Amino acid sequence: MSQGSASMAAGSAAGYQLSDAERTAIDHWRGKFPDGPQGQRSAIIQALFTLQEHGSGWLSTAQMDAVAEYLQVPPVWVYEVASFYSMLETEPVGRHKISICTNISCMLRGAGETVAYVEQQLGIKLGQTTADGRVTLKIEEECVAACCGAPVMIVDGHYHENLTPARIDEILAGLSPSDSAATDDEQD
Amino acid sequence: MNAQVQQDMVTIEIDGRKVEAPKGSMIIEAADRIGIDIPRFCYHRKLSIAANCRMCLVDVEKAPKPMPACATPVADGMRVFTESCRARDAQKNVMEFLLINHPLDCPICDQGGECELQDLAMGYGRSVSRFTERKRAVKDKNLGPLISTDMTRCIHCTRCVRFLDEIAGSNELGTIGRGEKTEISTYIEHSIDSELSGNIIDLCPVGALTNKPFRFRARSWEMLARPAVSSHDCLHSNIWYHTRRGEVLRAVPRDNEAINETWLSDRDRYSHSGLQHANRLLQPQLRNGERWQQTSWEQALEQAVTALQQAGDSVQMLLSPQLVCEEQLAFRHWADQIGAAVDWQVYDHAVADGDQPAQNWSHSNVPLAALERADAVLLAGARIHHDQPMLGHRLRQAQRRHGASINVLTAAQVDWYCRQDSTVLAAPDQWAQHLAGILLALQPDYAGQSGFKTLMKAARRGPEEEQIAQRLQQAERAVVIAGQQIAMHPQAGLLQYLLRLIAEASGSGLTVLAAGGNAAGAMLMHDGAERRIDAPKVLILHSLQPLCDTARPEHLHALCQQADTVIALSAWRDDDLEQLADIMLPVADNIETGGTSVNLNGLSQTFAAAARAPGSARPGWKIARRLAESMSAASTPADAQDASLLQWNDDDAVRQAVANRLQALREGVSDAGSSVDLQAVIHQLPEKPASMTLPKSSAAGQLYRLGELPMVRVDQLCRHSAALQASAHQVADRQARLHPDDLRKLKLNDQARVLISQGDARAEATVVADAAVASGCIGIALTTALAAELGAAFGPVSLQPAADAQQTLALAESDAGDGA
Ligand code: SF4
Ligand code: FES
Ligand code: FES
Repeated sequence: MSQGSASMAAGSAAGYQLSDAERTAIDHWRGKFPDGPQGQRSAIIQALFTLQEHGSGWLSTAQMDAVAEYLQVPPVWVYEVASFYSMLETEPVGRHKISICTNISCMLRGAGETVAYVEQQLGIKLGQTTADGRVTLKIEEECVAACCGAPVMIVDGHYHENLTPARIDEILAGLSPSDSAATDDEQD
Repeated sequence: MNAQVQQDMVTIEIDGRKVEAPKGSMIIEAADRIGIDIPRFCYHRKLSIAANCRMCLVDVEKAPKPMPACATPVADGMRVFTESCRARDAQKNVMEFLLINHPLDCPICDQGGECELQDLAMGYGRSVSRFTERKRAVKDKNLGPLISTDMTRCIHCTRCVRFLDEIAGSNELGTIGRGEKTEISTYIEHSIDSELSGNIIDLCPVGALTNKPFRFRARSWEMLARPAVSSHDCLHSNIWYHTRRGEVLRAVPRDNEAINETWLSDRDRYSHSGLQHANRLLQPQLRNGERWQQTSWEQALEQAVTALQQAGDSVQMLLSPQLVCEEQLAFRHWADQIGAAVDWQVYDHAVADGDQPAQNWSHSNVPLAALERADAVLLAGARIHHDQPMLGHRLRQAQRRHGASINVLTAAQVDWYCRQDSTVLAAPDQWAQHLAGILLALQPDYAGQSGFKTLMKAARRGPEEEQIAQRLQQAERAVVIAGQQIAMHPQAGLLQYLLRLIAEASGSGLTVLAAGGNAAGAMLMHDGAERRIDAPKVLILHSLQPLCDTARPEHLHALCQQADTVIALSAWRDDDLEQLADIMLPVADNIETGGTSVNLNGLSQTFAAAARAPGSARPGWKIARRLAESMSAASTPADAQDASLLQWNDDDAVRQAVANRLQALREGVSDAGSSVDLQAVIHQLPEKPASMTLPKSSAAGQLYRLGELPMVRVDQLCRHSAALQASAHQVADRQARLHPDDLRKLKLNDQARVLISQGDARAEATVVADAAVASGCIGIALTTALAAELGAAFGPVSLQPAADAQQTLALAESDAGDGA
């Protein structure tokens, strides 16, 4: 019998139950890494990403603890990963995520104005979510490796380059409206 | 790394000096060895290499850029310059970056004066900062009552994170966030509960993590460092006590590779605050009916002598096994002089059962450092990380570094900080059967051997036992450990004997552990003398609480009540002493007397008093001498042989007497003299007990009690340390833990109030469902109010709901007096 340390088992009390689909997905990724704690550790990113995608777009502590327990690693290893990567969310977010690059190339090509314009159109500041839970403006984004199309923003994983106010209006208008999807998303 | 590579040496040159270094080792190690100082923050020789602070950049010939000395392996012919222009420049630049976000307010920082950053900034920093922007600020964390934080000062060296991961194994801190937002944190706020947590204070190179009870109490230069030896467990970790005007303000580890390396357990680090507890006994006290009256030493001693003379030879002494050898020897001499019996094995059960003498001192034929190289371990009846934290650490390293299999026989699962390869979870009355199973798997012959037949018939030889036997047998350096719970068990003699046979049959080393820090020293001082405590007229207690420091509080309680006079030498005024003693004499604690102690490997260490005893407290040996003097003057002529006690005029004379005694013991085993350690004397293999009967199991409906000695309550000093009592290791006072299935069987709810009966004793408690406890077992911590009202640490108990009990026992209601 192999017994994890009690600090590793903290998740059980927190009470998030992994679904079968989540377990299958985590197992799939777990299988790609070597045996042992370091291999388990390697599977953390994908496990968290899976939960974020399956769930409400962000990771609760209970979910992180569940991952730690399932992968038999100390919870703090999971917290470290979740708080490090900007694509993993540890706070509630809107249904759409917008990240505006503010790194050098984009900055030179007017990322400052881009940010100001998006903020104004949405009525929120970087790091905030619209009151209807529709859009979150991510607080900071490093170079997203699309400098030749600067200024750039990423909306729900899709790159939009050479941004202009008109283009931004178009993109924002294309996002699902506030009421329809909101209710069933929030049930998750 | 195999042995071949390890032996391969290369020669490198550092600052013009040639030095040999093992292939694969780092430049910084070679430099350290020849005393060339390379500045560093993240590197620590006991931790993995992180190479994240970059302070150690050095100039390596032919390298295109400065290289981190902590992460650059040596290569034959390599030439390293630590003070060249390029090295200096690199180091200064790194320092400038480190200071960008670090507050420059050393005068209000608790680390000021002993800060690695402050020291290095003197050498490598600029006198004026070029950084005029805002510095970042980080919210402090609440890490519990032992460690204070100033997280703005953190330089992210991750030593603390790596320590808790690699050494402590509790993984409580992490590097949370990224870039400028990086913080060292638990993420979810909780205290750091590792038994070794205090070490991150020493490791932190800046003032981010500091000692909470010590916070802002003194500057490092105001204090003297006094070397001492800890006595809370049988390892005897080496300590520096930092004192100011005779008062201990804090404790830090004193390096000793053979014992505590460079670490200290929290118990050893924080216990000293008990010395300043408000309940210190400062003047002698005499009972006056229900009240206590302060008195002079003369009067107190006079009263004691009168009582002693009236008692004739019906005088018995009970000494704490934690007391240094000097105290043990003084009372031994005095007892011999007046014909009194002495006992020091306070956790022994066998006194009542008579027939199965246990070994109540710690001893081992495996050096501590070698435990770390063990490849298979059987740990029986030990909560090792609480009982002997540094020993638990060695076992964890054995697994981390050498893949040792750790196999456990226990009545309650705990956090072992490592992988358990086999676990036998069984109530203590089943331990003998399981050990017999392991023995049988190793040596089937025992089944038919005379004396073993009944035992072997009851043996439990399941797959776990088979595997444990196999692992021990196949291992090259296996170790069998009989934990301190075994030594307190009513069948200790049998269990220790079985563990010895298992060790012999599998070719393993044997370590026998017992509570009572200097029990091995006590054993040597009382060498073979008869131990007996049975209804004396005068009972003398030295540095122990009759309801706490014993495996059988009910027994000692009765003895105290029966005795005409109980004379208690104690450093504190404790409730049970006030209740049971007649004369209380203030005595100095080990830290205030200094002395000699002997650890489980037979290593004797002597240290001088590190603090001044408060009030009129005296070392116990002086009290013994005074009493001996008064008594021999009054009636009995001093026995020439035992007159030595009367000639002890100062500490040196006492230390010499102990040294002579130890020397004589050494010579007893070899003529090589003092070069022989005492291991051969203390490492006595457990003998076959007179009776090999099985323990009395609990009857149907009963549970078998597991008496755990809580880590932070092992002795008076710990129990008076506010810091330790506030820590997460404190135990609830009236609680009994049992398996949820057992609760269901007894039709009790979690948190129900129950009446526990053990023999004639009854006490009320709250039950707590705990799946970690073996079924059939009930965990009741020793030294608690609940334990004080019950019987022996181990034995059958029965439970009934407190409400029922109150109906049937209408009288008990008024007695219980428990309104909670
Ligand atoms: S708290 Fe101290 S030990 Fe831990 S990372 Fe920060 S500076 Fe290093
Ligand atoms: S700087 Fe914006 S994509 Fe590279
Ligand atoms: S000591 Fe070498 S990088 Fe920190």
